[in-house]
Amino acid sequence: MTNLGFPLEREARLLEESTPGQGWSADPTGQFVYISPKTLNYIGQDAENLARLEGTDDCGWRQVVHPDDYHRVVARWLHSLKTGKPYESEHRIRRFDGAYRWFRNAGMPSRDDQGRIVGWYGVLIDIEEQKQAEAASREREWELSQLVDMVPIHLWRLTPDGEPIFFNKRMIDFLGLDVAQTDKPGMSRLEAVIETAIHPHDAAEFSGALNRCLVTGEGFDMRYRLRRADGVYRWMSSRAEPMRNRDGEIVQWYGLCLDIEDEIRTQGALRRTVDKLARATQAAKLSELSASIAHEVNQPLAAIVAACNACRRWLSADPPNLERAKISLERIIRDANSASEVVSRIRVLFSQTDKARSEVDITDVIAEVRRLMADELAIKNIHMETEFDRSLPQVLIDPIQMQQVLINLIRNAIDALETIVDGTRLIRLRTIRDGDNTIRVEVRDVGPGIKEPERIFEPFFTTKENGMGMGLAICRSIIESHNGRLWAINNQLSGTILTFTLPIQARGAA
Amino acid sequence: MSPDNFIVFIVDDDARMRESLSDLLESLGWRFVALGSASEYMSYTRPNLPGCLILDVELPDINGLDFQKQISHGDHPPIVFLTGHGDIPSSVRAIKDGAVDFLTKPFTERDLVDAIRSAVEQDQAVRLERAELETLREHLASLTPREREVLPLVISGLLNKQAAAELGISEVTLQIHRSKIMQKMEAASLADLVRIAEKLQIPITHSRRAGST
Repeated sequence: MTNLGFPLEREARLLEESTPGQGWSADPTGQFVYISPKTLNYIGQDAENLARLEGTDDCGWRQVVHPDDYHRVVARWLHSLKTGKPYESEHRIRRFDGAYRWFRNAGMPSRDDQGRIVGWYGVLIDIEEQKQAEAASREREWELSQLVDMVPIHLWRLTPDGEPIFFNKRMIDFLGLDVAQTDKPGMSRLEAVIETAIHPHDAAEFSGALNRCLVTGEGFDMRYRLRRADGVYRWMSSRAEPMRNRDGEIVQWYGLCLDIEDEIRTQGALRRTVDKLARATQAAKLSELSASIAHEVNQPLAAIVAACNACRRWLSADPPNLERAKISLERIIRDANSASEVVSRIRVLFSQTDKARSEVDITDVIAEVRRLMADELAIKNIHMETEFDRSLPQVLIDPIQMQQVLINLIRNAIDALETIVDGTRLIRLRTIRDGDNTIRVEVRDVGPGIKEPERIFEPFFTTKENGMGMGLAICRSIIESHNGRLWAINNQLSGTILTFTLPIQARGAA
Repeated sequence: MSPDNFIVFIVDDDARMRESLSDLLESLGWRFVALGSASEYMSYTRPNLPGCLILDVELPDINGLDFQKQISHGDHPPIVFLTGHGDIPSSVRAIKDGAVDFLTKPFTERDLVDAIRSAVEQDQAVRLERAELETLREHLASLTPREREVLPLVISGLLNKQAAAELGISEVTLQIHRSKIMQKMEAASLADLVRIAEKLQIPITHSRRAGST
C-alpha cells in the first residue's frame, strides 16, 4: 500500500465517516478489535461495554442480533472463522431503542505472507429500506398471483404463435391439467389443448378463429364447450387480447374464459317456457276458434232446419203451395252452401302446416287473387287499383292461406263499398317495404269506414247483415301464424285501410 | 190460439236466419215481424196483441241477455232466446230473468212452436189479468166518495148496524150505499166483492173483532 502522506488512522476514519458502510475488524479468533462509532451509536453501547458483553456469548452478538437470526449468524461466523471463507449474512440488529433494522454484513480475512489469517475486516450496511421494498414487492406479487388464481375465471397466456404457456389455478382445477401436462407427442401444444379440452363440435371453429386472430392480431371472442376434468363439457365465453411491446409487436396473448353454462341453461329453460306459453296461447285461440266455428256452422244449419220445416208445411198444405216450397228450397240450398263454405274455410285454416310454405313473390299471389275476383268486382262495378313495389324480396308464406286472407280483405272492402250508390267504388291495393325486415300490404276502400277498427277482428263481430263475423278473425290468425300483423285503421278522408305485414326471412334462416 | 190474435217478433242480425224463420212462421200462418237489431225492435210500434219475442243472444248492438234486463220493466212480450252456442250459465240466467225458453241453433220446429205457444199463452194470461184489473179500477173510480168510505167497512165484515154507527149514518142509508157498490163493482156476492177488493189492494180498516166489542 502506498503511503500518500496522510496518517493511516485518519484515512480510515475519513473513509468510515463518509461512506454508508460501518467498518469493523476482528482478530483471528473472532473477537472484535474495532467497531465503528456509527455502529456503537446505533446499538447504544460503548466499546468497553460491548467488549464486556462479548464474554457472555460466543461472539458477543446475542445482545444485538435478532433472536431469530442469532443462531444462523453465529453459525456462519464460526464457519468462516474455521474455514477462512469470506463471511456474509443478512440479519436484523437491535437499535438502542429496541427497534430492529436489517443489515448486510460482509467480512474478509486478512492473511500474512504465509497465508495465515491475521485478522478479519468487514463492513456493515443498513439494508432496511431495501428489505422493506423487497417485502412489499413480494407481497404485491403474491397478491397478484392470488388474484390470478382466485378470480372465478379461467386465465391463460399464449406465446405470439399460439403456444399456451400458462393456465391459472382455476383453469388447472377445471381441466385437471396444468399447461405442461397437456403436451402430446406429434402435435403442437395448442393442438393438444384443443384436442383434449374443446368440444369436438366446436374444435374446428375454435382453431380457425384463434388462428385468424394470431395472424391478424385481432381480439378473439367465441363461445364454446370446454371439457372439465370429469369429462363434462360446459359452455364458456372466451376472449383473448394481444399484449404488444413499444414497437407494436405482439409479445404475448392473454386469454380469459368465463363459465356461462348456467346462463345458457337458464336461457334454454326460458326459451322452453316461452314456447310452452306460445303453445298455450295457441290452444286458447283454438278453443276460442272452435266456439266461433260452432257458431259459424250452427247459424246456417239453424236456417236450413227452419226452412226445411217451412218447406214441408208448404207442401203439406191443401192445396200444396209449390211456389213457396220452391223458395224455401232455394234458401236451403243457399244456406247449405254457405255452411260448407265455412267448413272448407276452417279446413284451410287448420290443414295447412308450415310444410305448405314456400318462398313466394307476394305480387304473384295478389295477381292470382285479382284474377279470381275479377268477375265479382266487375258485377259490383268496383274498380281495383294496384301499386306494387317490384323490388320486394320473396316471403316465406303459404300461398293458399295468403289468398284466403287477401280475398277476405278485398271482400270486406267490397262490402264497405256496396253502401255507395253514386260516386267511385274504388279499392286500392298496394305493396311496400316496411323497414329492413318487413313487407306491408294495404287494402284501402273509400267506403264509410268502421266504428271500432280493433273489434272487427273479434270472433262473432260483424257489421254486416249476413256476415260471418269470423272472416277477419281467421285472417288475423293466419297472418299471425306467419309472424306478421294485421290491423285496420280508418282512412283519414273516408273508408278503411286494412294492413298486414309479413317478415322477410333472412337467407338460409328458413 | 187462433192464428191472427197474436204476433211473433223475430230479432236476429243474421238475414238468412230471419228469412228462414219468417218462412216457417208464414207457413204456419202466423203473424210476425222480422227485425235485425234490438234498436229496430224498440222503434217498431207494436200492435196491442199478445205475442212472443224471439231474440238472438248475439245481437250486433247489444247482448240479448242485457237487452232482456233492459226491457224487463216495460210492457214487452215473453222472450224465447236463440243462440248459436248455448252455454248453461247464460241459459240459466235467461230463464231466471223470465225467459220462456232458450233454444240452441239448430232447433226443431216442435221446440220452437212449443216455445212460441207457451210464450203467447203466458202473454195472453198476463194481458187478461191486466185487462181485468183495468176494468176493476174503472169500476172503483165510478164510486162516490161516500161509497168509497163504505166499501172498506163492508169488506171488513162489519154488520150493517156497526158500519152505519161507524160513519154516523142510518142503517137504511148504509144499505142503499152497499147495494150501489155491489152494482157498480159488478160483484155477485159479498165474497165476490171481497175478492175484487183484494185484487185492487183495498186495505181492510176494521176487523170484525175490533168492531164487536
